[in-house]
Amino acid sequence: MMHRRPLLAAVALAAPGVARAQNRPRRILMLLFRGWEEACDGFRDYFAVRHRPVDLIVRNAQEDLTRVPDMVREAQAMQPDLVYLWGTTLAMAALGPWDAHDPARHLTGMPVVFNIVTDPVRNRVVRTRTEPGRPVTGTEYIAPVAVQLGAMASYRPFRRAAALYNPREGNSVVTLEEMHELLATRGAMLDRLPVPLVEGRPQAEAIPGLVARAREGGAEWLYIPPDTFLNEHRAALTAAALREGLPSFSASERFVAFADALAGLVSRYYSVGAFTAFKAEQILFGGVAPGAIPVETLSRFSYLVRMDTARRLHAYPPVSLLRIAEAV
Amino acid sequence: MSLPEDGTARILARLVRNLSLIAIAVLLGTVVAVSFAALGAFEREVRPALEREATVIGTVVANPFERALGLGIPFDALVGAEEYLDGVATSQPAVAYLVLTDLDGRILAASGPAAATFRTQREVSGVTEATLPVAAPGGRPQGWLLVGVSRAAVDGIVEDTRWDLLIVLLVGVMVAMELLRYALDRSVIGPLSMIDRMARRLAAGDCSVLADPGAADEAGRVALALNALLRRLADRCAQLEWLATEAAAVGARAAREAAALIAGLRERLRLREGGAVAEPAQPSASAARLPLFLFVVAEQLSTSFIPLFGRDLARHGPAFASPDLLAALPIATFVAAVALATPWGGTVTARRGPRAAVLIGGAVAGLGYLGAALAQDLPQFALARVFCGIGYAVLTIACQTQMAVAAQQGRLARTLGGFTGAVMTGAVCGTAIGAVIADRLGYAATFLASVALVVVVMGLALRAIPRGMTDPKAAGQGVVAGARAAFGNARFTALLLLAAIPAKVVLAGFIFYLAPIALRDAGLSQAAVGRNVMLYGLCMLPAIALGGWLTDRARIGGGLIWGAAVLNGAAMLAIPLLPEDVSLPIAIALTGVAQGLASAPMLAEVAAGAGGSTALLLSFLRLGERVGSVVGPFAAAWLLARSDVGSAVAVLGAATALAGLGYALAARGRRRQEAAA
Repeated sequence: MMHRRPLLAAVALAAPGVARAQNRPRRILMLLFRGWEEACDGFRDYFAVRHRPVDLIVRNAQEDLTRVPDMVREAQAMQPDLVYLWGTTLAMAALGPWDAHDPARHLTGMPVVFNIVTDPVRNRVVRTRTEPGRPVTGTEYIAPVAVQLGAMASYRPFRRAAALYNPREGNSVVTLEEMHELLATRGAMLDRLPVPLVEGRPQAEAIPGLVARAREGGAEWLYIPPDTFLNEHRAALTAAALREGLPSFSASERFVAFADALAGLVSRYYSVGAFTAFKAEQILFGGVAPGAIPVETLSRFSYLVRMDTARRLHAYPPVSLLRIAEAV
Repeated sequence: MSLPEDGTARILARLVRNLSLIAIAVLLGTVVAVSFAALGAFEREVRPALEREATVIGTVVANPFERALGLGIPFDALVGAEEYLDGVATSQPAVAYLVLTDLDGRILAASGPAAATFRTQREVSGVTEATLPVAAPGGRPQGWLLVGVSRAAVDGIVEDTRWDLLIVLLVGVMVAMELLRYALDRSVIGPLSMIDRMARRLAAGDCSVLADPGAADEAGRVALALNALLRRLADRCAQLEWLATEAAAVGARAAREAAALIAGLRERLRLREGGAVAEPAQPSASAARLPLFLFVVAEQLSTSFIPLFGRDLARHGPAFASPDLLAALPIATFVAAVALATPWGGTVTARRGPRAAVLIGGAVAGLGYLGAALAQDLPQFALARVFCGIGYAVLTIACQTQMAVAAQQGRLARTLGGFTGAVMTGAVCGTAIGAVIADRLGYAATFLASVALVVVVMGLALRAIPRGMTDPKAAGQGVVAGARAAFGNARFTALLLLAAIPAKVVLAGFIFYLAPIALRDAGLSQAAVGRNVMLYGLCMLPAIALGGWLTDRARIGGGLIWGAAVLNGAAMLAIPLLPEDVSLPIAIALTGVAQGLASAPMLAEVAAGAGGSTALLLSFLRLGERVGSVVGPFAAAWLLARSDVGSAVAVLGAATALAGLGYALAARGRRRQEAAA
């Protein structure tokens, strides 16, 4: 936001032709992985509220990575003003690693913003958060893993946690790896339970059994990583946890807001979408190179507590947490 | 004006003592009553404020409980209530306890420093409590939150206020005593001793001197009547002598008898040819004491803010050095001016007499204060302070000399002790009042108040200090010749180097530099450090009087000088024997006592034993003391940089004690030489 006013002033002083150019609608190609949701709402609404003319062209991969090459080819032919990428898996597929970029397979020659991406540095979408190293920038939406651990412990101290995950999703693997390391330094442990794959696809039917196994293993928390497969089956996952009497903690919003997870330290998808639009605005209307815009998270997270689940588990949040928590 | 030591004097002394005691009792009673009334009002204001604070804290603390109940969490299933209360109690130092109970008063959670006491006794002294219902928004109360706010913080403020009141009380009593001393001297002791002297002369048949009628009071009327009596007596005598001459003409026998009669009369009455003359003016020690006291007050009014004022001016000027450094300039110029002008002040006093010297010093200092009030930048202010310093040097030496000259036989040490007493009292009063004036009216107004006080000082000098009293010994002596004479005097040099300078090194190095650091390290607040340092002055004042009395009565001045130095050193060396927060105040108090005891005998030694001019010797003594005051902090800082506070104090203490012993040896050697001669 801070860069906006000087830039607008520069625009006002510029020639009338430039001013007219400012009003030309910018074409944004939105490549989505599992359809339109709240983060996309936030992205769209930001431009509307700021009266920035944009044409949004939406393409959906429907969670099928094989569709990505076609989407990339279309983008190359279309040459939009900006490409919007939703999700870690799609971003990795469409952009490739920053240090092994292949112009034949990956988006080339156009600015890109990504949204709802987990750890873009470990996933090699960008070189560093402050210097992306390519014309790509975006936002993160997951709180740092250490902060999430603190949030879980402040609700209910624990020695052992368990997590289900889709072994095909790099973001989940990376997050759980980091959590495992952190817990080990604190004398606690994490049981990592991969969802079995059949022909490369994770099996949703296995979820209740895995949750039961987690409970039997002595887990005190079920941690839910930012996993697209789990998100799709969030109702089954959180219901199973509830049945097993296992409190569940999520890194993303929808498990608490639209399922039965007990708590989560999350960025609101809508707010993350708007924050991503702010970065896109800098590129489209401010003339800032995307490689010069840092990758950031929102500075505030929401601590969500599902009170209905708390009642059913008899696991009420501590009083001090109620000062900051949002009950849903 | 002092009294001869006999029955009348004792009656007068009792009168003065009783008057002083009554005045002090009335003053103390009034101030104590007003202070208690003020503290009572403070208490009345504070209690509701504390209750409000407890309620406000309670409202904030209860909020998450109410939210929890609103979210449907049962009251008895509240999780982490005690941890939550712990967190609040830690962040709120005023909280004594926070207790959550159900409606029956059973404790669910309790925290805070007094929580344990509350659990067992349900009541904690020194705590103001507020009770708040805990309920879901719009619901019925399900429990109580009790908030106990400690009165300790407020008690601290009350304690500080009490100390402030005590200091104001002390200052009030000191000022009142100075004024009372002057008023009694001028209106009671002076006239009464004049009548006393007259009565004594008449009883001895001395009719040659007339009394000074002075004011139109009873004593004045008595003086007039006595003077008339003397004149009539003289007339009658003259008539008698004429009759005798007439009678001598009758015959030889009549002539013989008349001559015998006249001779008998002349034997009993001493009449002066040409009539009696007025009594010469009596030099008065207290005539110099009040001007000195008021002048020191005038000088010290600005003590508390001179560095701040200097820094303010430095900030507005060109920045060739940091304002903090430049702020020291006016202080440095003042100290340098005092040190350099002190010998000159001695010369002026010796040549022109104390009265003229007080007027000269007052005029120069008054110009200085006026300049300080008008100063627009730092150089102007520093120059003004030079004038203040010169005035201070001349005026203080003049008053000291006046007191030495006026001191009667057998009271020299006590009278000169009065000099130190007046300076100390003036310093305490001036600093305290000056801070208030500066706070209310500003810096310039405070300097103008100093100008006004200096005008009063000069007026008093014109009225009270007699003309003349120049010192013929010093009349032709310049500063250099004076210095040669002073330092050629072994007795004086030993006193200066082994007693006077070490005492000032200890004062500036220990009391003003090391002690505050050590007290601060021991965990005392700034105000408490200030009070501890004040102990020095409070213990010194009575010790000065005692030292003077002992010197005059018991004639143990020399012993007091070195004994005090040894006592001082021992007190400083003994600091490690007890915890520092106990031993440091004791050492400070003993330093005050020791330096007070030695103060009067030192001045008396200079004034009585000096072969040269008193004014000049006193001025070199004060110059030496200034040097000691400057050396003290540097010596202390140097020692501190090489060891710790305790060792630095110990080294200073040992050095003082050794110097004292050295002085004792030198005095003994000199006495032996004198005995041998």
